[in-house]
Amino acid sequence: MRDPDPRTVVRAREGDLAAFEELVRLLQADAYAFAWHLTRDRTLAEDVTQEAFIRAFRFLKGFRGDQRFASWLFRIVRNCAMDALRGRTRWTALTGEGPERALTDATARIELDAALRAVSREHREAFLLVEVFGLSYQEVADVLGIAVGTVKSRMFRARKALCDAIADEAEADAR
Amino acid sequence: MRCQRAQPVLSARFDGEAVPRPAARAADAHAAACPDCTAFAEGAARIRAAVRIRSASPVPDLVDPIMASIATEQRRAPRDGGAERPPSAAWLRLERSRRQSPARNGAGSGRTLVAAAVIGLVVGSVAVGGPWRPAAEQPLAVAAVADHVRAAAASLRAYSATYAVVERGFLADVAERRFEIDVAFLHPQRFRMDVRDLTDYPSTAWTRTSLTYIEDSPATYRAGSEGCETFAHLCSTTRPTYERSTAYAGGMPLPIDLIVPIATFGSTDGIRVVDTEPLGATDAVHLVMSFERAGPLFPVLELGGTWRPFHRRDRVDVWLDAASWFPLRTTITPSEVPQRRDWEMRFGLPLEPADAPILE
Repeated sequence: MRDPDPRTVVRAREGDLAAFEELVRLLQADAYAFAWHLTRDRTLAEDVTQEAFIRAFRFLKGFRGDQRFASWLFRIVRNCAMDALRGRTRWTALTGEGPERALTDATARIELDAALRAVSREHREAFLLVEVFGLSYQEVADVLGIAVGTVKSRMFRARKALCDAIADEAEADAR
Repeated sequence: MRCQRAQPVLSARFDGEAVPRPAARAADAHAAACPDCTAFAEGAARIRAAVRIRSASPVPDLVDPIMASIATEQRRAPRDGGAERPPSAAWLRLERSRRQSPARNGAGSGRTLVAAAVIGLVVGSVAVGGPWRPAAEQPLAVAAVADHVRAAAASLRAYSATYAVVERGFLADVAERRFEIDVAFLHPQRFRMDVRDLTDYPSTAWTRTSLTYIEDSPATYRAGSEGCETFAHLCSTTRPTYERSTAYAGGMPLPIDLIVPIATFGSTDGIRVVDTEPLGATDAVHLVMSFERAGPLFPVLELGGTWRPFHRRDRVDVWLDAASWFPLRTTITPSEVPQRRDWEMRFGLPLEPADAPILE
């Protein structure tokens, strides 16, 4: 995952809109991808991405530079996604719609996506941040607000569950 | 070392994490002779390859709408110097206070927008051909305001907000009540409103006026405390609660005047523009009308619960965001018509001065 030039972050913190736009251009694709993985809904992911950058702009002065800017932004994206999903849950409570929804990405690898959906949200988050976005365990810990040891545990459990799911799939295909 | 200890070590090392050398050596030695751990390591590699080569879903270019929202954000308020504080719910907090009777309007069609108040600001900018109206400009004509509101409603796709409401003069024992109203709308006809009564009542036996109203085909759902048909001071403090679901009536307009006052501005009669003036960090169009005229702005009054009464001639002040046409603030203050005094006595109300809001 790309990280911006620290000088761009400093300028953005000082109110330079052009600098903030550079940050948006650099990171909006990754932010959207993360939001999509969390929400599995294209429209919601767009909303989450925009809200995340608005919050990032609003609270940019609070970014202390003690972590990667991208990690800080991803934490905001995650928070926005959780808020959005809680809001969406209020709609589904009475309609009976389940929390899972059909994949919107027609090009996704069906087996892996199906297996990912079977993994708990907590484990899936950690797995995606490491495997898809290339964050270190410490960075994932910063994003999720958990201990590094917990990240290690969740990564292992997610990986184990996916390995087992794919192995079962392969066995079923072989029969 | 056994599998259950070796595999977590293999997993962490696979991610490039530092692992104590003794543990790494032990895990390697175990894995070399263990088919299960070998399979785990190979599976991890296959998964990584699958994840890396999977086609990414098309990523929309969100830079322009994000920067448009940022421009609005910059205009609204100075940036907070604190750390990012995620809200606990998917609601935006806005300075609003409203009450409505259930006149409704249908939602229009429109393009997808971010589910936040700032989306309305983008829409408002598009609709009027320029976002910011200086306070020094002449007040708009009511007809122009109505046009802007209709344009904003037509392009509204999604919205969510939380409103803070203060009601005064409910009862002698409860001089002030506080509520929060969560509103959510999804085009074309999904609407939800939750009223939370946050008042400190004299005892826990008092039934709170907390309500839920949902319109979502194929059902309309309501829950809350039963309304009181008589004067508030004669109502029991404990009210029966209800919960009912009825068939969704698609032809009925939604009570979305809390979001965009389309029903209120369906006619311009009885509405007067006061001025365009600053409200916080934004410009707002200030309008005034009677409570009788402002009915659609206060839908919660008809949904149940117990509310204080308002005289039909009481003054309703509304401030609409000059860019988005979303209501920013609403107040009700007592009117000064002579008939109001008799009315106050009938409802057991004290003399209410005309300079203090009884709802905001």
